[in-house]
Amino acid sequence: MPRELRIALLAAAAALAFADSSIVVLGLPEILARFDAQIGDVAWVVTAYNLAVAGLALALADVVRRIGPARLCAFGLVTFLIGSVGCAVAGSLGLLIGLRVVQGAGAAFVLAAALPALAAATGSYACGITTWALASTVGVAVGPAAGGILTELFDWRAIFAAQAPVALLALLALRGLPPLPPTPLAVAPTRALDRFRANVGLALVSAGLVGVLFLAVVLLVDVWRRSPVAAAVIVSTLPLAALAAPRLLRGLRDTAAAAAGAVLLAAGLAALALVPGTGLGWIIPALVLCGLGFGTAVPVLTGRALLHPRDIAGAGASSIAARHIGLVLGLLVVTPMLAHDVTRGQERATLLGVSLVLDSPLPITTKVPLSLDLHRTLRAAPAGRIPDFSRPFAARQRKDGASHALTELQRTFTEATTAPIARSFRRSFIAAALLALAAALTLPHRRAT
Amino acid sequence: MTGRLRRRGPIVLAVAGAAAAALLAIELTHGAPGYGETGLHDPCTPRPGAATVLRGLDAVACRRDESREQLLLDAADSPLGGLATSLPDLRATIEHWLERSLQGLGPEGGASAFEREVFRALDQLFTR
Repeated sequence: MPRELRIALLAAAAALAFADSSIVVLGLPEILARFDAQIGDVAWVVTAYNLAVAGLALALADVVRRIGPARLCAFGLVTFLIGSVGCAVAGSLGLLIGLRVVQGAGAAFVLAAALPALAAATGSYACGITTWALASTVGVAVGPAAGGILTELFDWRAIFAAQAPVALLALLALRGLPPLPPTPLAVAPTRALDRFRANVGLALVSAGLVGVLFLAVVLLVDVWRRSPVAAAVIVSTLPLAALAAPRLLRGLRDTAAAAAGAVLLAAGLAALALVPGTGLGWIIPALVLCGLGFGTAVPVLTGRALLHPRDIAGAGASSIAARHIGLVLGLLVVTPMLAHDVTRGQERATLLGVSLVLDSPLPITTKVPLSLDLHRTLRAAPAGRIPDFSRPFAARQRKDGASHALTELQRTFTEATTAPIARSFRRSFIAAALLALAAALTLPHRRAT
Repeated sequence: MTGRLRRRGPIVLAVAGAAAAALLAIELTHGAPGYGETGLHDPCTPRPGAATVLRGLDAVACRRDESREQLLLDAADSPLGGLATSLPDLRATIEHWLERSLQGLGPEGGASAFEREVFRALDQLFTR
């Protein structure tokens, strides 16, 4: 197999395993509806995967050294493949979550082995690290957009089905993998304490990133009612900015770049928290800031975390674990907060909606039943799930006949009730911003000589 | 790395930082603090031109120290909530309140007495 193709396939497998942390997010509303679940339960489809990767990655450092990257990566890809196909045909939410654990276990093997495998394929540890770090940035950032497009074109099951061919092709790339390069590093390694701090920084940046990968996507699809493809296009500004960041910010010292990245990510999340409307002019600049921050901080922190004097594979496993622990931490902080606040937001939205209905020029015989129908719609929605208020209006139009006043009221109602629900995302965005900001405090200062 | 490339990073960072500060400032000046707040009308403050039933709702809500919107939603499980799903039933219900209120007024009753009676009927309806 040509060298470039082998590197591309191995990098694609690593990117896919990283992307799976967030790829399913835009499919969550469909999964919610399919299994009639609640936000808190469905978030486990994301959390279970990250938990499995985080839990296994640390244990794999030793295994990579003993078994070798090719066999370990092959085992991981087969497990990942079985998990992916299983997720694509899962008939219940419990089974889907269980199979996400299988997928995550396979991904942990793939990610831990892909770093030395890429070093072998590229012929140097430095190139292997650079390619692996790039794959991680692209994978995490592209995940939601890829999932959104697949969900819109087919359905949420396509997200998992589409992963199987990538895993199969990557298996082919492992045949005839060259041996590991003899010299571990051509650059000075980082000290153990600095590697630890870099990993803590990675964990906190990843925790903050949940604000973009999870919260912003849910806001776009569930509250702003954008289609998954539209949301995918909007969210794709994140990977574009992330990929441009290292080039744009070249010339900064490592520590300054990582700190600036964490602060920019936090600023972007704060801007997402404070959006005063549903216009794209508010969310896109915020996503660009998040992407610039993420794309600046993560490559620097990953480089710092991986520069081990002897054991790159072990350092890679620690780095994988740190990122996924961060994602799990972010989800555990943000999900219950969001579920609680959205429920309150729904109540506020209903009161505001009823106020609009009562002040509308409709007859009282329409106003009162419509208000009560809207209330019932809210009560019928599972906790933390945003109801579709258009149904009561449609029902009222069928009963009372269409009228300009009712159509106008529905438009005003939809706009006005979006705001209190969007506001209920604020605390979660701020929490994510604080996690990202905390990363700036943990950064390593020195490099060993 | 050339000197120009070395300088680009700090310049881009300064621009990004300024853009972040500007975005946050614009959001704050474009209504971010109040966005999504539900400033409901105080039911104890008269609403000029409101229909009698709505004035009744305001009066009852004022007495119960809650918004008329919350009062209405509280009634979702009351008999009104059950009847209101059907337009003829709701009309009949409202007409029944009004008729009963008119009958209770007597010849000396004025408009304010009539309204008081409507409020009383609404109050009874919303009290479980």
